[in-house]
Amino acid sequence: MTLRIVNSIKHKYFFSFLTFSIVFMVLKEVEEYELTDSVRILFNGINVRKSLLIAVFVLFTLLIQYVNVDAVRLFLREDIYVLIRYKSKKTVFLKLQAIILLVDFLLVVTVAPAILSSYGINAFRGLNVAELMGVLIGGFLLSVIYSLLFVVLTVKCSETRVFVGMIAMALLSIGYSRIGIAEISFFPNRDAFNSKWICFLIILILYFVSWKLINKKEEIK
Amino acid sequence: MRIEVRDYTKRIGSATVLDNINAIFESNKVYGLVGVNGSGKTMLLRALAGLIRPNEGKVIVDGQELNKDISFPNSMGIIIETPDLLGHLTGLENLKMLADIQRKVSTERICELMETFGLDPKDKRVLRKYSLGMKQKIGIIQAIMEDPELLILDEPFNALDRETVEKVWGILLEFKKKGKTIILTSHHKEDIDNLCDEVLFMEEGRLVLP
Ligand SMILES: Nc1ncnc2c1ncn2[C@@H]1O[C@H](COP(=O)(O)OP(=O)(O)O)[C@@H](O)[C@H]1O
Ligand SMILES: [Mg+2]
Repeated sequence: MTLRIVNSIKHKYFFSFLTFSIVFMVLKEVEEYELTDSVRILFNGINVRKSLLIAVFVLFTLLIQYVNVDAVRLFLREDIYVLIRYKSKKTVFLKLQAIILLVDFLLVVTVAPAILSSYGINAFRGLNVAELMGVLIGGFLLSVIYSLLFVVLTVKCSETRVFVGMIAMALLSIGYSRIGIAEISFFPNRDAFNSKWICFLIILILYFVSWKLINKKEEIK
Repeated sequence: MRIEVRDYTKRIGSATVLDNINAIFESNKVYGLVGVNGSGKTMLLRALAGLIRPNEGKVIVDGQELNKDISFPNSMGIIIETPDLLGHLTGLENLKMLADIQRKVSTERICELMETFGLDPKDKRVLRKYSLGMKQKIGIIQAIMEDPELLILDEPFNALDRETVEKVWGILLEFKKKGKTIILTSHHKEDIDNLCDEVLFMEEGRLVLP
């Protein structure tokens, strides 16, 4: 079933690829950013004094929802048909987590062809691969955090509200980075060791919160 | 499958939506639930399916208590509301996705059922473009396709044309013959008269005598 869901959103990855390509193109041609910095902006919204860069980050958080929405809808809204077949909420919960991890991973992987299409193969020469990987892993953790927030909100609210909530959340986290909490917050790479542990901690907390909420939720709409 | 409802009460906010329900449902029978809108038919079906939790009382399925020993009845097909599932997939893709979970039914069988209901398995249209009646057919197919021992059907005949209604009657009577338990609601006296061995009347969350 996981593969069927992932397979059914191919077009969303293509759309994400196009979006990423355009974003990188703009960052490269207009703002003249290096490759790694562009990826960092996409994932972190650093250098937030420019509204263009804020927009890029908010776009990323929206794309995470966009690719995840099917799985979340199916498991949390139309779930009775799925639920009675899996026989337990726990299985459904774990399945949803597995799908989210896979879907987010693929989204972050989509960045690679987008880099190629906008920066070209030459950009990879003399690149600090370790640094880029760090940024990508950070981006992946961040997208998992946002997906879990999405799950938590979806249990409680309508879809439109959730999307609005997610935008607010993205803007808020940029606000954090502006007042300097970015150094210790989940924005990766500055202090790679600390920030990743904090990421994991946040993921763990969200994981428990979403399980508690889903477990308590009754199947009435 | 034998289902026993004991002193079941469910409150939502200050409203008592199920009020001290007692009932027994057995194999080889079709049960009909009747009552005006808002009388609690859907809520009772949800209770039987383990989809809500009681404030008092319990539901026992073949000796096992729902929400305690098991979460849901073991072999159950259900339709409550018209399922939307994934709007951008075709009917067949949606059914296959659900069938993937338990792997009890082959793609050939799903296609066969779709054809029985006058749906074309090769139809490229996605579920979002289906008419209400077509969605309802998909709903019925997903409920029966895994040949469950218990069928819980909330207004299954909604939006169906006459021909399909009669087809479903036939299928349900076949199910009954095979020893299954069927519980359904309908606003049409004809469905109830044609199918049901027992009729339960609901009024403001209570089971009442006719
Ligand atoms: N999600 C819900 N939250 C609160 N009350 C509900 C909900 N769904 C139904 N109810 C209430 O429960 C009662 C029974 O509803 P329902 O079982 O849907 O009736 P029926 O199926 O007989 O038309 C109604 O008074 C309805 O307002
Ligand atoms: Mg109803």
